[in-house]
Amino acid sequence: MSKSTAVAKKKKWSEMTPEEKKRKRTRTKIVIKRQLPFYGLMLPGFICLAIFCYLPLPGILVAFKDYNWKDGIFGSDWMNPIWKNFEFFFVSDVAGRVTFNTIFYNVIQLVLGPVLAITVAVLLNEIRGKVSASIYKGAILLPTFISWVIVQYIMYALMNPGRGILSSVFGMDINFYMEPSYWRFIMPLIYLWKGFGYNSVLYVAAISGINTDYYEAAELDGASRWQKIKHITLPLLKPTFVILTLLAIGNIFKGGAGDWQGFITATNNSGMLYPTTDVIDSYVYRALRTLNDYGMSAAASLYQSVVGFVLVLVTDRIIHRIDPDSSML
Amino acid sequence: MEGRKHKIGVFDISVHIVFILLSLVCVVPLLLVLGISLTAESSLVADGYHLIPKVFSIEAYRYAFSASNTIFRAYGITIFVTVVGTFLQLLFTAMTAYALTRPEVKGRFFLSLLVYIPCLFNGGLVASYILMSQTLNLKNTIWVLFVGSLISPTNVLIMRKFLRSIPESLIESARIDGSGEIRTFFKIVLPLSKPSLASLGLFTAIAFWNDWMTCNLYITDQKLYNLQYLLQSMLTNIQTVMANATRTEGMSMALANLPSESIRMATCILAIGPIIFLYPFLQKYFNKGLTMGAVKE
Amino acid sequence: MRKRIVAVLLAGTMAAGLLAGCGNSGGSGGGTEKEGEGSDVVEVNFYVPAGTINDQDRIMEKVNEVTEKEIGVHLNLNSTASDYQAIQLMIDTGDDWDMAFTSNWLGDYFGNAQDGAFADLTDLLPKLAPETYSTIPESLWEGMKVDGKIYGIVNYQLFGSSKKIGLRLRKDIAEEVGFDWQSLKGMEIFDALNKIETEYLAPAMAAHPDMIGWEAQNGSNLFSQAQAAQFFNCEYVGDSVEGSVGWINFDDPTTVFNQYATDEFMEYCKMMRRWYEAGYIQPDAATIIDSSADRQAARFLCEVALGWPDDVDFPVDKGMSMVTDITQAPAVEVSLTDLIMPAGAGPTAAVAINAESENIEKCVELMELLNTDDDLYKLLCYGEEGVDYSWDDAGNLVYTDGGYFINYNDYMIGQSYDADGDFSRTPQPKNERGKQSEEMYKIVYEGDQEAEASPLSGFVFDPSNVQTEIANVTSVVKEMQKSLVTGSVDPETMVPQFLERLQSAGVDKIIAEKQAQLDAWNASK
Repeated sequence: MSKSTAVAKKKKWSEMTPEEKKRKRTRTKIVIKRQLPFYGLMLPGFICLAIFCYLPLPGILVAFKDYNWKDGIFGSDWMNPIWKNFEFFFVSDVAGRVTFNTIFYNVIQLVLGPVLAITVAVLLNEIRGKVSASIYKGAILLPTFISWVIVQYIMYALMNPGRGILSSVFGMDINFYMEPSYWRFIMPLIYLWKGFGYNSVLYVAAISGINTDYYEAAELDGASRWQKIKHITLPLLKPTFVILTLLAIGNIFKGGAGDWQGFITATNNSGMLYPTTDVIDSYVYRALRTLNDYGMSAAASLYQSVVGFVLVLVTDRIIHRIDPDSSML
Repeated sequence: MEGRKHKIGVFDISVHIVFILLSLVCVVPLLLVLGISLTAESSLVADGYHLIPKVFSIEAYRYAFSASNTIFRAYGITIFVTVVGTFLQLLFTAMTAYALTRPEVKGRFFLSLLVYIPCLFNGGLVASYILMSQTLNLKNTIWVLFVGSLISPTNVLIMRKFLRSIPESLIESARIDGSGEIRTFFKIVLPLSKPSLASLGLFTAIAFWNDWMTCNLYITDQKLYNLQYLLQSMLTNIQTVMANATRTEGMSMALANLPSESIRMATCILAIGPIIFLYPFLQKYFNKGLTMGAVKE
Repeated sequence: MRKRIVAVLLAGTMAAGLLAGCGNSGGSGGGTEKEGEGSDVVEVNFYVPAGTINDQDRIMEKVNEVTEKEIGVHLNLNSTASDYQAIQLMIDTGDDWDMAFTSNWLGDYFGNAQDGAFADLTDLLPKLAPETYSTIPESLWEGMKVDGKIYGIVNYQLFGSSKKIGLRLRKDIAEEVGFDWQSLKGMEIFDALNKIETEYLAPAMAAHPDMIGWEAQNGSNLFSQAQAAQFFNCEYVGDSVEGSVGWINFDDPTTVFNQYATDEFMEYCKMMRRWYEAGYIQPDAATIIDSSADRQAARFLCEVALGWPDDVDFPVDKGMSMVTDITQAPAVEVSLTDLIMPAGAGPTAAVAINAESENIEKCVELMELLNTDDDLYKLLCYGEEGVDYSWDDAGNLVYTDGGYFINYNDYMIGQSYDADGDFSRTPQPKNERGKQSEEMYKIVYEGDQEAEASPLSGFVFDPSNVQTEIANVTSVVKEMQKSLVTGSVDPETMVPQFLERLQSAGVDKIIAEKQAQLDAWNASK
């Protein structure tokens, strides 16, 4: 029920005839009756959001404050100048490098991630053996379970000079941990390997939601497999694709779309690789870990989030113009 | 559709080959982890990493289970938190997401924005610590391990897209049959969303399962340690023992067998073992068993 | 209308948030008192980052029998993960804690003391903890002072606080190649390393090509290991964590300088480059995850030794660090430097009390009890004799698998040094080795009493004016220093590049700030 009707109702209530009043009441009742259940459904979710996400949100102020425990978040002094906490990132001589690397890897992920995941999901859907499809689905999910520390050890087992499998079995005599150029390929591969199973399963779920009537109708029309994929499956995966991409765009200034630990673990945190593997988060982690400065870390993450937020809002509104059903908000 | 006979063509075979290769890429590293965890520490130093242990040893697992009551309890805590947390989060997420798809709900853009903002912005560690520890007083309670994740803004937004594919006609007809909106949600919408619930639920479960940070910050009562925290801590404890080797002259013989590298791999296996068994259980929801036609229209 | 409900709801919860945010600073830190139980027993929450501990309830019950009877304190010992994050958050949010382990390397003692988080104990200590206060050398208390006040109770350790550092070599291999390791005693570091290079490493590496000459990283990185500055007759000014810059030389203790812009750094990098190219340093030394596997396999020929006395003055059977079996890798240590009490010796291990705690005095009393009641301390750190630890037939100490054990973090709880000199505070091996250690601890304690205190003792650096620069310099050091000191890159081109990047990150501003604060401190003395 919109605000204007509520206002209109107030004004004219006394002038209404009893019948009008009654009609109005029933209409309101019907509208309430139809809407209320949905607000009820939302309620637990929004209560949780309010308590666990919005209640601590004023903590963002720390980015502009010289936080100390006695005065708390609100009472602490403002920084002077107020953007002082942001300074360390922008004056750093690596600001350009880490920003480029962050966006570089995220864009690769943004493009190759969905391509791989959708391909895998569509192909999985084409496999007729139920058992083999299940086995494949289980197998490709395994990397999702492996923590970054273990990834580090697996990489090390593969690539360490001398004892590593690449050097002892394949005779590749390269110390990968000292050669930054290789990592432009290695990093995206690791992230793809770790993430494609997860995303594929999301798309598999989306495919499962497609009404089988469409396929049956297409089959009656004599459509080929490829035609069915092209004209039914792919278009119906679009909303899922758009939402996942939008969520990723929001994280474009965050190393590894938020999951940045890979950039310091998989590389053994080797300083010689920083030219190609240092992302904003790994830089912030390195610079601030020993400082225990909440203000500066809050500033860095606020900066990352604001950029992402603006990008998402703009993209989402553009998408909304073109295709209202696909937009996120 | 499954019942029909198809000729197995080149396409099918190549798809299988592709998937066998992909599966190997994913499975072999984990087998390597398993192999290393079962290798004697001395052999790891001397022979390097191998898929099949050169010198077999279960020392790493023996070490991990040396305080067995603690680790079994930690499994219990983790399983409880994962099951309850995932169930509630899925429920709240689906309820919120469904409501946000309904045209009856006004201000959906604003409400979705409210959902999206926490995806990017958070109050930081200090604020959430004050909330959990002082405002809600949840330190050293089992609740702290999952209440903060009862709603996942990302999952709400993804779920909302999945729910769009449920035909409006189904909901209309339920309404005409006299079903209340909430009943429609539980009886029609939820069952139809099983594949998406299963996929989101799987990853929610992984997140709960792998979470050690919450335990790190809020739990000091050893009865409430979760599995990942305990395993992490085991690794650090081994490092401290190693670093103090010079202080413990009398212990040097015992240190010889300390599984410092194999235990890392063993903790990985111990951590992911149980959740892998969960997968086949969820598997049936991923398969295209449910069709729209299955629900009367 | 519904919208309004939602809005009101949200506004309400936000307001609650604001209140909660404001309110926490005042009403916290009260401690949870069990007053309902009738007695005057107060509950004290003591936090240590000691990792997970088995079977804690059994031991705590026994501990509390003593503490409740003796001083009316019910102790809750809470152990968090070893990274200190949980404790730091409690301090930073004014949470409910009474006591916590603190130090200058884990838990930012000076920063927290400057922020007023810790209680001022200057007057309480002599009154309520007289024995603790008098046992510990005066210079350590001096090192704890921030603006003339003591904010923590030093956990004085058996193995002493004064430092005299040197090198550790493989005894068997030195004998094999006929190297006179004793001649290194008291040598200048570069002379010693040059001598080691030609007379020890070269022949040893030729005979054992699969060994590693010099660890080059971690503890043996002379420019990141805080204590190693002593090799150059220098000391860090203020914080000594990885990435901090600013040393003074003991010969000229009023001038702060950038240790990386010295001839010594260049010379060291060149030497390491030479060793790297000769194969004395592993090819991947700069990028290795950790070297414990190589240490366990006893592959190192030479490393830094931080302990004293050395084997010239007091020979003891020992192995290389982390080595699994002493007979596999017997080692000798030789000191190069003089004995000094470093400025950071006091806060190496200490316990601080919450400034807002309601039981500050009880906490001090508790520390005095822990520091004087040997059995209580031993129980809390090692568990019960015969259950959690025992001795094997050879008299070696054996810890029971899965038993109560504080993971060698006894230094977080209290002092392990035993004032009566009977070593009843820590279980010792019951054999020759145990006797040797006891002998050694006595020498160390005497050394602590005599050691000359660093000219920086009592100086505290306040970094708040140069946080931005520190963040950036730290990041540059962490990026480039490791490859230089492991010889992985050519120092001729890379050292100048390193210095240039330090410049642009603002290293001069940090040095100037440290200099200004040091000058002011010197003037006020």
